[in-house]
Amino acid sequence: MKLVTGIYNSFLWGLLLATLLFNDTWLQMRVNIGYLFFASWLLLVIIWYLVTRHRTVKGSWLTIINTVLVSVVALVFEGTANLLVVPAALIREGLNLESVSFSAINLILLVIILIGLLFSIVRVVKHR
Amino acid sequence: MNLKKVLVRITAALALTTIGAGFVQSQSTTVHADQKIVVNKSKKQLEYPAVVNGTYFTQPTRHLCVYKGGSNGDKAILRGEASEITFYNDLKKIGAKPGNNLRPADMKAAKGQGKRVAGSKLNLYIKWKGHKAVAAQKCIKSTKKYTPDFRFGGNLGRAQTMNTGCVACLDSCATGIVSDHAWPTGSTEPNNVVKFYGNQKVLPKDGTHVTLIVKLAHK
Repeated sequence: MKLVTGIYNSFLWGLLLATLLFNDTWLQMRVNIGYLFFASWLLLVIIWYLVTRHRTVKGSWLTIINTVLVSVVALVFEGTANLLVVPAALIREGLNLESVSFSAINLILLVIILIGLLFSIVRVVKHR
Repeated sequence: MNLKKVLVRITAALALTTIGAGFVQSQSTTVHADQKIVVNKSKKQLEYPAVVNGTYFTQPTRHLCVYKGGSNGDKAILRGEASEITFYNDLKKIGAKPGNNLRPADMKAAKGQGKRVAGSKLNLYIKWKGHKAVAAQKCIKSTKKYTPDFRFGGNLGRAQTMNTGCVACLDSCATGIVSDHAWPTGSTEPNNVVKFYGNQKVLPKDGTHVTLIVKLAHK
């Protein structure tokens, strides 16, 4: 479960990082930011594993706080209009799926984020 | 769980993602095949097939249209569906003359010292199913007053060696086949004089197939 927590939270961190990097026009015009997202996600999962392998982690609480924090930071720095385009655009570019619509990718992202959040809330409530 | 096991699982997950992406791509091969440029010598115009990329309705870009097979294929308002090399050759067929006056060093010009692309003057329009052709000027949003002056810049050699895929750039460019005389080199980068976006109020939604009409202007 600790690894799943790491994969989920690293996904959010990686996506936030890539979304913020997408605003740098110089970088955006030269680099496939989608590749940066997948690379940073993988790197963060490995770092997570190395840091937490001999430690106990309150994963559910961490996930709830992290999801809220990442969402707030993304909303403040990007705004709703950009958030509906940038994460989907960079994932589409990273996977070379030009024919897939932003709304389809956004739906998948929303489902992933909500499942992680709800699963963590249920675990917290259960263990009270 | 040891590190080896973890790495094997992560690799397996990434491999599955790649296979999944490959499967989705294989389902849409018709979208990925190159399309034909329609050459009309009597009207002195080309009809170049492209797809709207909604990313640049909110993000700035220096590219109006880039061939999808180039390294900048996803960095333009329009994702081109025909090679920029074919586009260059077809422009010559309708009698356009390339300027070939810019060099890569010009792209790093300081503010106020940029050079302007030369070459035959071109009028650009965009049309799509159920809609009449609209001047490219109306399909582009600019942070400054915008009256483009598109030219056949040429740059065939660099287009071939650099493989950026650039079909039409929004400021004067040493690589793009077509670029804008109205904005000297360096206007977008590195000098940030102006920013360009796709105009969401005029262009159809992301993913719509459009035709970029490139017409040789009368003098």
